[in-house]
Amino acid sequence: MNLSKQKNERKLFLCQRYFYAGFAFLPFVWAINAVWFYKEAFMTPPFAEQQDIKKYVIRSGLGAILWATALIAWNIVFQTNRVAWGETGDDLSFVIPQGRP
Amino acid sequence: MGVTGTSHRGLHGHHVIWSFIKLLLLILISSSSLSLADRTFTKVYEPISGINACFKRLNGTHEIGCRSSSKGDVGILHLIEDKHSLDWVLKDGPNAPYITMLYPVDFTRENIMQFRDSGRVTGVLLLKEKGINTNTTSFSTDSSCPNQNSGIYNTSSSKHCQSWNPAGNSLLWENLNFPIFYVHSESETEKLLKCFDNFNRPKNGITSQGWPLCATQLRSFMLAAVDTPTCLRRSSVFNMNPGAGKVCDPLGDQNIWASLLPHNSSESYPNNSIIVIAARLDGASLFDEVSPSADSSISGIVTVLSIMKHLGEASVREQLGGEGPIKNVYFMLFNGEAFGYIGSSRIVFDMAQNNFPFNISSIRYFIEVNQAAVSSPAASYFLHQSELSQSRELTDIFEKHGKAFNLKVKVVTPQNEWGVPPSSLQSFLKERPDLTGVVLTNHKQEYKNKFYNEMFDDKETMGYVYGDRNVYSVQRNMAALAATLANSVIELLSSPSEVKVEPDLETVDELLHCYLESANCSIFVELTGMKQIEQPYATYVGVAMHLTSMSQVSKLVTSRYLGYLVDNITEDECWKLQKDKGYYWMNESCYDISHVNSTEAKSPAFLLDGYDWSSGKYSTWTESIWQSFTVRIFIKPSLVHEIITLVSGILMLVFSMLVVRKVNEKADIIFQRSRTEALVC
Repeated sequence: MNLSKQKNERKLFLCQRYFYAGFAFLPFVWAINAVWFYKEAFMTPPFAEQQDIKKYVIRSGLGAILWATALIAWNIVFQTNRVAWGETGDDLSFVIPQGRP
Repeated sequence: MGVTGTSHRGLHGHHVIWSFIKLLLLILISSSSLSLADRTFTKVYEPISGINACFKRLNGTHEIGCRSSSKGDVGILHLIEDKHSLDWVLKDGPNAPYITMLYPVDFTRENIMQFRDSGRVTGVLLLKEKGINTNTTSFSTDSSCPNQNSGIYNTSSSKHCQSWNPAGNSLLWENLNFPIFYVHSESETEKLLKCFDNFNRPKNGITSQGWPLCATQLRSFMLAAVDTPTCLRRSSVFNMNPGAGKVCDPLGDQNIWASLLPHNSSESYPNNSIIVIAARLDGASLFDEVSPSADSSISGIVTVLSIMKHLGEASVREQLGGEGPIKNVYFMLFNGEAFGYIGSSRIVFDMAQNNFPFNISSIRYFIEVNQAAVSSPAASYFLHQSELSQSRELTDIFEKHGKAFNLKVKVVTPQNEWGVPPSSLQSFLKERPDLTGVVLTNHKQEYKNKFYNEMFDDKETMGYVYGDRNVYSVQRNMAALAATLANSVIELLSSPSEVKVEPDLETVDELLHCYLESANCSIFVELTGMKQIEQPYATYVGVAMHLTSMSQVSKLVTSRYLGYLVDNITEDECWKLQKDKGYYWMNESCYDISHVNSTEAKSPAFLLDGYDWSSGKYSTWTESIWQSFTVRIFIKPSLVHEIITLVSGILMLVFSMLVVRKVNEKADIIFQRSRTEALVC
């Protein structure tokens, strides 16, 4: 949909919906929310609902960044330590490589 | 109108026939070219057959052996002939990584470790020397003190690691981490050497030949890693296809054991009332499918089988009463001994669990025959004894009966610092240190066998010639030893005894021929009732879920020699009674073999819940699962050449796309046929 052609209440409604949806362990929804509404929140001339939209966009963005950091950190820890963790490492793996520790 | 009409139809008809002919020609040409066509890769790679691979085994804490990457490891071929070629591979050669070819004389621990540590070698090919081995005087990859961690001497004892096998370089137990193949075929070796000479041999020995060079790819991908508990755990991960995720298998096979005299299973044997005569059934080697193990194990097996035949002879057996203190004789052939005494430790375990007709305290004498090949006139057999319990009675009887056949048996005194040699007896001594056990071998201290547990331990290095009835031949000595032991056992069972046996040279000779030269021999064919393979059976114990032909045919020979002949019975009746009475039809007769058993020879470590894998109490060896073993050679161009080929291919693609686009735009001008045809019609 072309966001610029929507009514302002509609924009606020969507942004809010996406923000709440992201709490269901859906950081990608937050990321989409932040990117999609970025222009509306910060670059268009001010309108009534823009303050709220700004709030949601910032919070979605922060949430997405938080998730990204956590997942990257876990990924690094897992990849470097899987072998050292022996049995636990194998229990956490979905596909265990063949022919390697 | 009619004229034009017919001519139009005629032209059309021509058109149809002509296009039909064109279609037919197209089909014929394409189908003929399809049948002659080869896949491109067959024109590039030359496969090498006649190869044996080194593979990976794992134990409770380590992994050993060789592995390659999943697609195979590639390297430039280089032949090791002297120090200069060794330096070339390790330091000087500009085209690393290399895959080295060597002869057994260079397959030393030092060289292999250097290859492993240099980072410039991605694989090794072991070649067979042309003709008879003249350069190789010893070749053993087993440890210099075999099975030192599974025996009775722990690390604090001075006898823990004596140099029983000084030729051993322990490569069998190293984690080599790159593929190693043994090329046993002479024609394939020629291919490799020719490729090396034509493309790779450095000019004047100093400068490298330029690209293209002869390269080879070795593939021996092993699925298991780390150690046994890890690979077993990974094998049991849930999989939709049961058994599809398996990465390793425990080693094992069957132990063959049988009693000489009938025994009522409800009665138990009193203490010290049984004689056990034992030998080891298996051999080992670094490479798959090549473990002839002539002196290492076959010599012992054939001796014990010959003793079985002597004592199982009806005229002898019926004289043996069992009224004296010794009630019975049990023969035992242990499997998997090379890998931590798998078979013997399992039987000791079964005895302790009361899963055996008797327990270890019932054994009066334990007699083992180990490495029994004696071929020189001055040589003699040696009788090693267990330290805590020797028997003058036993050694005197041996010496006495040995004299009758001019057999020299030297008793090794207990004061000898070397202790008991590596043998299945050690598993029994671990459980009961005061057991009276003896081991008969051809060596006092260092092994006479310089090729212990490796692929050159065959009939030639053992000095066996089929049909050689010379007084000093291997078969004569072994037959004399078997007869000596048989007579000694007869006297121990029911002395005094007039029953005496003579050395059975023919049987020993035939059995050696069967086990060392060809399984398609009269004895095996008669017993199995079918033709056998032309090669001797491999002696490697293999994985527990597959029984080897070696153990099964040995069970048949045991059954034949110790079975009771059943008269007046047809073949069908005999087969019907197989399950209930243990009858078996072989050699055109029915035999009662209910007292001949084959029980699982798998380490107790795999049976006990919560076994501590690092305890070292039982053998924990497993074998990795592999996919396929391939070796192939090809001509490899330089990296620059390869890049140029790729780039010109891409440019050709882009150029052809441009041409087609251009032609498509101007199609109307180039192809005028359709317009002119329209004009004609």
